[in-house]
Amino acid sequence: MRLIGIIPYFFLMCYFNLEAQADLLNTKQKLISFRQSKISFGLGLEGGGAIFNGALPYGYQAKRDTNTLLAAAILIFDLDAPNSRLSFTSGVETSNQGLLFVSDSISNQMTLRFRQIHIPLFLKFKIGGKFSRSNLLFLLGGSYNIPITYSSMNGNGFVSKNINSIQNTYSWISSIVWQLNIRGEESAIGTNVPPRIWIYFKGSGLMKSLFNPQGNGNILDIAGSEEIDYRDLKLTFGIAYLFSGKKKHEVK
Amino acid sequence: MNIIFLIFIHLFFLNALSAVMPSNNGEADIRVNQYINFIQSYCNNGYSEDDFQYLLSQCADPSILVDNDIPGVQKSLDELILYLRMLKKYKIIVQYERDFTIASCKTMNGNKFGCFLKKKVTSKTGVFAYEEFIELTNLENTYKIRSIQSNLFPASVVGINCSEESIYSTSQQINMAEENLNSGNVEEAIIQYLEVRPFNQIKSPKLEKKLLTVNLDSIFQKRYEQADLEFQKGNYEEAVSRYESIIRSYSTLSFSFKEKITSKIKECKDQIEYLSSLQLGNLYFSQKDYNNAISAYIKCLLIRPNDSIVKDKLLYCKGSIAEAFNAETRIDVQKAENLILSNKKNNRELGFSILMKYVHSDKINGKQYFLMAQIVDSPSARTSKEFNLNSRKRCLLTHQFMLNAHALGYNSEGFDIYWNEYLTEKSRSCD
Repeated sequence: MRLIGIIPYFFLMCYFNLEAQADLLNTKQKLISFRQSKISFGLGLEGGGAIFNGALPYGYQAKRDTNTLLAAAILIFDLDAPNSRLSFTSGVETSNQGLLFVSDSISNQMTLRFRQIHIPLFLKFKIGGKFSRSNLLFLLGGSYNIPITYSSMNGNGFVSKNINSIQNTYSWISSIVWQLNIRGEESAIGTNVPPRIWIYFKGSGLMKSLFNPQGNGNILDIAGSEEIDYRDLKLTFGIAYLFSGKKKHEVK
Repeated sequence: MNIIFLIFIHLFFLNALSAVMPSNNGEADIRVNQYINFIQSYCNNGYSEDDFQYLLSQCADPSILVDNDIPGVQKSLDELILYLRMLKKYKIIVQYERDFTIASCKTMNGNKFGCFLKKKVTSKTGVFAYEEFIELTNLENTYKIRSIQSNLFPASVVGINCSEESIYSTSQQINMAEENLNSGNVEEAIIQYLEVRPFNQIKSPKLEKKLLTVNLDSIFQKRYEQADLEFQKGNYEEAVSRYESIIRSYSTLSFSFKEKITSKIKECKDQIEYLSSLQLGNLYFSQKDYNNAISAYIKCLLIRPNDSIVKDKLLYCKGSIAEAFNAETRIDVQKAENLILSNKKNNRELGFSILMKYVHSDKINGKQYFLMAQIVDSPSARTSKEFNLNSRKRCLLTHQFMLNAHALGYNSEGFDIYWNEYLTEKSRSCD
């Protein structure tokens, strides 16, 4: 509920198009135009939690592994199109996640930890001026997820690292971003700060079961991977720095 | 106007007036009425010049002689048109008295009629009453205007007051001439009498008798010398009046003497015009109306090209206008900048249009060039249409305005961001 209250505040801030500099004008933007556009690189960190929404064998529950942080690091490739409302953003993200499957019987508890690489692609919609102090960005897209490490441990202490147990998946992603244009801000911050900072809230949902139906062995003691439909909804909060070239060009 | 329509108007006047006019002098009256109507309609922009010329040719003899500015120096039909054009130029309205009747026209001899008309002339200097004498001749069984004499002088037209006292009816003038004769002022009496003698059928026996005894040559020579003296004193209006009275009165004036006087009159009128323009110029100058002062001073310089005082004043006026223009421009440009920074689309468009007016002047500062660069880079549809901005032109203008801003020493963080981060390499070179 608090979040719902904050969104209109962001919206209004951006809507008023406060220019970052007194002599920079928020001139006309088209719905889509790649004029004066360039690719910016950024680095981000995010963390959050996951809500299970798949199907497990009877008697089992999926829980968060309190010993493992759901965290991700992201390298952002942002197509910065100042004259456009719509643009694209991509990147490479690596995430770390842990799961706990528990049943009534303690001996049937299972802990899973895995890392994935995500390759997302977003359509980005910008609210606010090209030289505003801040913008509101709405991102909508998908991500292709590739597992890179996997380990599972059952209640008896048996550890398996058979990566074939989990498979490549894909997810939908939606994000709302508050973009702060610090580089343009008239302040004593100086020029060594990144030109833009993104503070974002992201939601993503797996659209395919994490476990490989053709994988070897049981994930749980009593069920094979084909019997477990693991899907989740991840909610993360992140921050990213986006850089741009600081090269000075002679005015000629 | 269609010529048939003009003929219709002409016939309409002819028929309408024929119906109310008695028959014996009727045709002469009709002609005069036509003339009056045409002149008045012309003055009120009822006819174009071509139409008027056609209509006038219907009621006036082609060899008409018009004597209504410098009496004695008669003009042809073409010159009459020029004279009327001048009336229009100075917005002078001629209004003839409408109670003109047959009684106004009198037979002069066999086939000639003379008509005295009273008229009011409204000019910028006021409303004046004048008289006009129109002579009509019967040619090929139709009466046409042969000559027009009027005491309307152009000096009054261009703003020199023509005093009421100078306008007399012929009978009043004869009375005055007789009074002068009685008081022993023979020369003045003779000159006054001779001025009106040709137009008055009733002669003064006393003055007629006196005419036989005086030496006219010596009277006019003396009059000429008096006029010259007034001229030398700078009393140009008085000099003109005396020169003109010689021409009006002395019918046997030699051609060379007449030419000499005419040239003197012209010189006087030039000087009057010079003084009048100077006075007007000085008045405008004191009111800081430099545009009108310049026009007046230029008129002065046309007459006296080497007048250094007028030249200096003219320079001062031009300088003041330039200064006022610069101040106005500065205000304009500042307003435009404020409009652009007001962040409203319409204001921004207007501000940009104003700045574009001064784009080739040195009135725009670096910041304003920078603002223009940003607008021209991403113009609104209206601005784009107004200045015919295609993508190439947009790029070139953005680049040029950025260079202008830089050349004028403008530097800010915004400028730095725009040039180094916003513009791409391609936009910085427009290649």
